[in-house]
Amino acid sequence: MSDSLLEQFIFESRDNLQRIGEILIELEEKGTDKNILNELFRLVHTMKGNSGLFDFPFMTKLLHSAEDLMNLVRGGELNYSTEIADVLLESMDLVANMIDEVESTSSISHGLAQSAQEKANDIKEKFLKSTGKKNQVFGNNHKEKEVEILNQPYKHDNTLDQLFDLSIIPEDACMEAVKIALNGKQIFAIHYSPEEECFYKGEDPLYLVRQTPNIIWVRSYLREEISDPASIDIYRCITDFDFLSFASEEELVEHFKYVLDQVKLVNIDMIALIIPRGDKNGGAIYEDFVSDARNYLEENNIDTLKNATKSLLELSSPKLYFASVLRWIEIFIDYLPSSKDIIEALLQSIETMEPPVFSFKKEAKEMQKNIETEENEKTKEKSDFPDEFLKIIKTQKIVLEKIESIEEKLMRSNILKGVLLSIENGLISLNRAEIYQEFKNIAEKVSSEDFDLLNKWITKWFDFYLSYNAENIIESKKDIQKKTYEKSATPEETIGQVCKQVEKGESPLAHSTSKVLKVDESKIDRLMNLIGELVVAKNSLPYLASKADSVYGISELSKEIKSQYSVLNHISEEMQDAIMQIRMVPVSTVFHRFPRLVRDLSKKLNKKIELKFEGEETEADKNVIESLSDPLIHIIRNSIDHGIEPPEERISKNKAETGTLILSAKYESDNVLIEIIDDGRGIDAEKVKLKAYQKGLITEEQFGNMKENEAINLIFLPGFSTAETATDLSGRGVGMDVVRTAVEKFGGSVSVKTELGKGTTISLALPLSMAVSHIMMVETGGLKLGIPIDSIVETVRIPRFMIRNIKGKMVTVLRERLVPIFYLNKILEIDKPHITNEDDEYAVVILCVKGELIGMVIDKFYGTADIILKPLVGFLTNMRIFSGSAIMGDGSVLLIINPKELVNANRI
Amino acid sequence: MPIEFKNNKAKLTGLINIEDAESLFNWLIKKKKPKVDLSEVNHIHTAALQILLIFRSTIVNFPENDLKIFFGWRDK
Repeated sequence: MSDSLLEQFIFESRDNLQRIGEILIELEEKGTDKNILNELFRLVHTMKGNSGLFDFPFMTKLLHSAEDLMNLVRGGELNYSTEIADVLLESMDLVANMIDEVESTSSISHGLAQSAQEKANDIKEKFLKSTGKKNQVFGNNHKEKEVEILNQPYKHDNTLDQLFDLSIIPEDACMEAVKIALNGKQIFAIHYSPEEECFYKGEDPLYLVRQTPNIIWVRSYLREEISDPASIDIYRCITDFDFLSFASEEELVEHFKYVLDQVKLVNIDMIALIIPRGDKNGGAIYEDFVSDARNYLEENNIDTLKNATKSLLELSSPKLYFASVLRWIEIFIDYLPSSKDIIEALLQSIETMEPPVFSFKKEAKEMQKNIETEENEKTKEKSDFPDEFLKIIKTQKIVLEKIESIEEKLMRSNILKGVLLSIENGLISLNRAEIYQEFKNIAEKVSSEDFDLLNKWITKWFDFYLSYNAENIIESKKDIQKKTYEKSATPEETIGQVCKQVEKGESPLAHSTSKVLKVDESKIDRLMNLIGELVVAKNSLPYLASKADSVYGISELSKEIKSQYSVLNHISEEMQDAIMQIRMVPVSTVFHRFPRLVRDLSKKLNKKIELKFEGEETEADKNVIESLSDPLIHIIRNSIDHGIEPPEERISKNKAETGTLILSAKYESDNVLIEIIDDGRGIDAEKVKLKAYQKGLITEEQFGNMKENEAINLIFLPGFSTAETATDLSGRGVGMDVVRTAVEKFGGSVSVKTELGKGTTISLALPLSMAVSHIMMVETGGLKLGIPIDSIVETVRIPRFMIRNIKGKMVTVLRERLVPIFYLNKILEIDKPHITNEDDEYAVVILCVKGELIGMVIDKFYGTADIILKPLVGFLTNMRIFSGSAIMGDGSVLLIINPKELVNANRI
Repeated sequence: MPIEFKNNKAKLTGLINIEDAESLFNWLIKKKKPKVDLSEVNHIHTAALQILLIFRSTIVNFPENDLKIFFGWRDK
């Protein structure tokens, strides 16, 4: 097995697991939804199938059990409960662990395999077995029902005609089926039309049909005429199967669960199978038999009737229609008296030489008739348009409603195109020229901004029918199931397929948004690096231009180079922007990991918490988004553990019983701002201060003077957090140090706002993209350096005499504020004094680090630049005062200062 | 070899998979009155069955297992 296949499996499985987790939580919150359940089932099924490609039997087994369980939930046999959610979530965790192991070691450890095995057994024990019993009970019910079948009116099933003509079934097979039905079994007629591409999917429909439980009769045939056998594509499946089985509906649905859309299944009444056939050249002798038989029936003289039938059969040619009827009568004689009506109908058939008419139980028939006429009326109302077509229109209408909420213009117009195309296709198959023409006119006029006309057109033609359909949405589970079998098999294949998509929840809207190309991140990174190189190469042009002018004195050439440069510059900026867009992912990708965490923690702590998302669609660079994951886990854990109170406490405080935790994201200039808002206890600044003092993190003096705001920021101090966890004090603090470190590592910042008793808001600000950094270039001691613009407050010139030495620390007064100052040369260990200008003023960059101002003395200011920051590698990684390097247009290397580390290094 | 071709007769043995369908197809194209012996077949892939259906091949011996019901044979 190739590695790339395994890699793809790992990659896809992680995606699938992520989505499965989301769905499981969604189901628990919003209740079961058929579409979601179907998606869930498909995901698990895909994973199971994929895992089967490799030798991970335990993973496959566990997924199989989970799939079975989901199938029961999907079929409505089990209600989705917290217990099921727990089991499924745990199973998926196990699978995730196995996939992690597979990735690192290409195999699954014994321990994990064992837990998977246990889990699979657990699922079987707890859920699958209990429903198995249920099935048995069902089975018994069927039996009771079937014994009485003779007394049931003959129900003409429309769907049966569409399925296949039962008269193609040979008489002996019909008889066998009827005998089985008489013994209390249900008979199903099944039509299986495998999809054309099924061979490519590794399917063998014949094998599947062969394995069908309790087959009575089967035929396979080509569903299309083949005029020239030599030119066929032998790998395109055009074979259909018709067959009869007496397995239960549950068994059959289970057996064909992966191809249900290709299978039609109808529970047939055995009466439909009583089809006498043969040569109809009868004689007078038969009329005598009919009258005799009637007499025997009246007298209940069963044995005589039996003998008469038998002897007449022996005398007649078996090919006659009459003989065929006699054979049928022979079967039913054993079931007298309840089969009397059937025999009577068969006798009549001998007289008329027409197929038997089973018209007994008048009252019941009347009832049946009433139902049928009602249905006919309903369909008459709708008969203007086929159901399938109305379904398409209905879906498109829903899509149109949703378009309005989409901001992206391109996407809107694409979706609208899809809608128009779907309606057009539907209309073409409808063959109604006048509507089609009107639609075409309207289609030309609508745009993604204004499609009111289209809405009006839909309302004009179809509103009546759509509202009718809306009333019929609530259908019993059985109806829906039945319809799925029937509908997916109606002959209007094109329309049918669209409907299938709708039923599966794959509306065109969902389809258009999910059209995603998956690309390995390293490929994007490579593109990114190349563009970085391009920017560097491009930046060398201005140097060349000035060189052409100053060194070689060709100002014409210099001008031309400059104009070429501006074109190149424009393109490269566009490219850079485009590649940034590729890397942009919505914060929802990380947000959606948390419902599970919140669910598990709140359950564990017996708290009621509602998690809300705001601005999920906010996008930022993939790395930025991923860097959020860990800090968010810490913060959310804190909010739940320490912030939100238990229900009793909340009630006593006059708060809603359920606490709210909001994860919000929005843009703020070049940053993405993530806020975690809870309505819990808030942070008690006094307690935090006291704790910090006790731990020796602040001095007594600080303790006395500290403002509330400063005190709260103490939670970010390293060492503070661990003390908190150990004592489990009601304040926050677990891992806040970790949060700050992580966020700052990615060039972000973190802040806290809190109100005692009301709640806490923690804000994380992170750069939208980490790829391009804006820097200001400075020079000190002959060395050029870059400083990130976002940490620079201002650049000032400060006269030498304004810098004072207080207890060995340098300070100056800037706009009536005392600002500490340090010399960059000293920190960088450059043994040169700083250069002042002619007015004896130092060049000073005022930095804002951790909310405090600090001045950095340098030699010279240069302009700003956009650079692609490359982290330092190898031994240089330890030089933390530099965050990385960049290559400038003239080929020189620029080191970028990390102001925070610089200040730490200076110990100010 | 799951399929043994002899003059106008193909004898299918054991498991006929989808790859064998192609050789069956190539053989059937060439023959005018091909006969197929299925008596020793355990299973044939749908693709092979389909080819037999397309060419309306004459079946001289039917399968002896449950597969025979697919060829219209039934236990009385």
